Amino acid sequence: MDDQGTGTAYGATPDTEYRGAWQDALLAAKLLKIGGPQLGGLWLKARAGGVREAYLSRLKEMLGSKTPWTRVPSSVGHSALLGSIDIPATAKSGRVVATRGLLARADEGILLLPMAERLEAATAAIIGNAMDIKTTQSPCHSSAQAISPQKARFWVIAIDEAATPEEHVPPALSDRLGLIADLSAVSWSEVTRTLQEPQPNSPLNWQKVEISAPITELLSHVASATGCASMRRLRFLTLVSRMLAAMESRSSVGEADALAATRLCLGVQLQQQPAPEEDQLPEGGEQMSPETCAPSQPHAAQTEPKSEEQNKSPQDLSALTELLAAVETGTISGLPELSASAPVRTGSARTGKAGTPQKNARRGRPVAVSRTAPFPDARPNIIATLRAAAPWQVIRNQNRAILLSRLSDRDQRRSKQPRALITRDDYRFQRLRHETPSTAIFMVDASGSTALERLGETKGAIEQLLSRCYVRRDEVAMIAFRGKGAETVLPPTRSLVMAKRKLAGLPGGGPTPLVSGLEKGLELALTVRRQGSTPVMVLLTDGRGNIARNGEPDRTRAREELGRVASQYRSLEMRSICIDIARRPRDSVASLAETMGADLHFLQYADAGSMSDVVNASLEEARG
Amino acid sequence: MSKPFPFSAIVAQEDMKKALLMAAVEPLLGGVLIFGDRGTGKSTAVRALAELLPKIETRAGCRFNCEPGRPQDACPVCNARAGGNPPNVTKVRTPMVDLPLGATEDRICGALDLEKALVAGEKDFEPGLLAAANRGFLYIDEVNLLEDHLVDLLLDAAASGVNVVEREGLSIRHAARFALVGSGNPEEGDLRPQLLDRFGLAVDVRTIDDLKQRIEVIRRRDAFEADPDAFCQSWARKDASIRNRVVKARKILRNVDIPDDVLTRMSQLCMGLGIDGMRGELTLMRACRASAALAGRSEVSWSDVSEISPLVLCHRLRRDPLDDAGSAPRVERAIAAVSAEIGHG
Repeated sequence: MDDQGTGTAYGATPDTEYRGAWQDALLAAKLLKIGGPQLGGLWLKARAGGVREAYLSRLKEMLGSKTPWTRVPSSVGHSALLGSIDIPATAKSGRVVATRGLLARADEGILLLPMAERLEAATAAIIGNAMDIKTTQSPCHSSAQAISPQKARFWVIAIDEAATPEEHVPPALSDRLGLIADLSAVSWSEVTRTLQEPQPNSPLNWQKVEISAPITELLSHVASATGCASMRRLRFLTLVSRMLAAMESRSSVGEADALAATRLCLGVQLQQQPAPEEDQLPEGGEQMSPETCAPSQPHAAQTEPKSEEQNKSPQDLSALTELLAAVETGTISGLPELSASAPVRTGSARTGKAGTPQKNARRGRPVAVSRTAPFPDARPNIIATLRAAAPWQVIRNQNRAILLSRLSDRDQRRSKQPRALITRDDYRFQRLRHETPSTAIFMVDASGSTALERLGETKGAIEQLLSRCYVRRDEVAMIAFRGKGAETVLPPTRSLVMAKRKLAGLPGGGPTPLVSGLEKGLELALTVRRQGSTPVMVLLTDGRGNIARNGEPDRTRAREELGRVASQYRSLEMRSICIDIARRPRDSVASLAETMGADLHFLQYADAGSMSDVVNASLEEARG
Repeated sequence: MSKPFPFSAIVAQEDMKKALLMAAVEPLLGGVLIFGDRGTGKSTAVRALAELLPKIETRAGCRFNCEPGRPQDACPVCNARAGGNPPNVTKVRTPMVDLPLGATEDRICGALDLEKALVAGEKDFEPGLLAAANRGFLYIDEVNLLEDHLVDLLLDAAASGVNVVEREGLSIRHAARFALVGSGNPEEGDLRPQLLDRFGLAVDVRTIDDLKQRIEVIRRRDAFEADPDAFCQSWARKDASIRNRVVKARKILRNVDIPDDVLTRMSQLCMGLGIDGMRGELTLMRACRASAALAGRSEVSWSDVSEISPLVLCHRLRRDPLDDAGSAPRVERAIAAVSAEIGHG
């Protein structure tokens, strides 16, 4: 079947590791053809370039020219995916005409997602949902008949060009893709060297292939150990190993198949070791009969695996067991992206979210009527549209009469007089504005000798900010930490008077419970965020926390807890500013700022003016 | 759509199945939220539920799912014009409306029928998904990714049971009594607490880690993919027995009694956990009733309460942003405390 004739059917040979990657990718393509949309699709890790193009064209050839390819831009709108009303055609024909969405158009074909790591989570969820129920539903409003659910059975090829660990394909999508191929290390010469393989003519009858319980168990263990405990992943593993066995015309899954499946579905493989090549055919013959899929006899199925384990000699699965051990100890190549289940979220890595989210809001106060749609699927404001069209009716009717007189009689009879002549220029859309105020939360280190001076300057900055942002309706809050804990000195307010009163006579001095301060700040920030405002955290510290959360003076514990809290800031995407107020810039502040994902500023003399400038700039940014 | 996977063939995930059945028995519970890992059969279970439930009666062509005996004012089909008779009564599948993430406001609430307005010049109301979900379920997959303004709409309708449309010169009210079922993965974003609190039951589903069960899942799925019809056939009897349980439970639900001492202890439990508002207690009471009815009993016992309360109470606790362990242990401790008191008294 393999024209390389290297003896290994699809195993990676140790000396040419990269060739393995290319061969695997080709194998994945073959499996896609065999398995059909059941396998979900392919997660292709590759940057733009010749290798990727060559691979895609190879895949296209393999699937045949009749398979439709639909390319989806990463900034795709929901209505484009699911279908919407075709406004020009609707206006022309006088009844609702729907366009088919990209998903419906990709039916029985390939849905190609370039730059899948830039896909928004909601878009990925829509695609994932369509993959599950194999139909699409239109989100737009229209008569039930016009846009009925449409068939959409397709393969997804998600091209992942992620460069940093912070970018990743949305899990709603990656979980549903059965195969993984990594082309990042494939050289061009390798691609040109491999010849075109002859197409397998007859469809493989892989449904007949058995998979024994011990192998399924081991696969399940390996999958869990790599951090993909999802049932979908395990199902893909078993499906792929059965298909691989069928390609080798075996009647049951051998260890080599299972190993190859882990490589193709999980992206893991043992390094520096050729894939074991023992043929398991003779054994396969006898183990196939009893534990076939027996859905109607769950009891039988539950007792079966035990006896199987005893029957089977353990050395059969030595390589798989070894793989499991290697995965568990972490000495394995090509792992962890799949298992990165809780990746660091970054706001800027998604399309459509950066910039100004609230200017073209979907809710809020209506502010104006405009000619362009504020967001992709906006519905025209009918009254305003009619009003815009009204003055033109006389002229348009005359124009129409002139045009009609040039037509033949038959055409004249066919075109009936519409009630109102509305053209594209008349469409008017309602613009909404949603005010999102921001709240600056100061977390001030009120400990030590410089406390008094620093507090005074912070108070000054707060007052300056308040007088400045009164117009914008921004709010300011302050948390001071000293002694054994933190307290909210000033709850979020926009009242200058209140701020002045509360901030008068604030005590300072004592040790530094930095953790408590950050924790308190986080709680407040979450509350603020819940109320629909954007919190901007301002931390003034010299980075030396020496009190743990419970109020005990324990430096190591305090440091440990500090790391935890700071990473929470990052994962919750808090916009934060860290102001270093030590005499000389300290590493501890820099590393804290990095863990928090904060902008670092060094203000040796943290005076009110410069501080309020820095914070003000950040508040402006937060508003977009 | 292809045939859904049978409900009874779903391996393990007992909490999730129970919560869904309880919502089917008692529509006033206010819906179920299923939060958890990927690939745990959340969507599968919800889609299977609609297939399982008994059919409802309505009139042919009615798009508001009116009860034949009580037609709504907004429905042009059930309120036949003078002289004509309304169409015949038919039985339809319990509505299970999938709310697509990208849905627009018009599609959810209903809006002016553009086609009729443009073609015939008539002002007519085109009912939306809320009308379609009346007397059934409204399912939102990835509910945490839904846009805020849509969430507000849904909340309002779910709480009042009425959808009010005031737009484009239309002024329509129609019933929208449905159970919200939401599913999602918390790693991709949390739910606003207002919405969280609105769900009656919240289930936390985890990936199955029992090896035998995992293999069983794979087996059943394979058999289903290979021949869906035969597979559904082989599970039809089990599905039917669950359906009968639901039907029976619905009948006896109103007669299920809660002894006073159990009620007192429920209040103690809620107070002990510091749950704001009465909604928690009320839902706990209804849920316990539904659970007892499902078991075929006409009285709620304390064991019902201790079994159900994590589903009802966990998501209502005030959350500590730094607490990774989750709120389940806290609820368990509180139950244990209240149970211990019974032992003494």
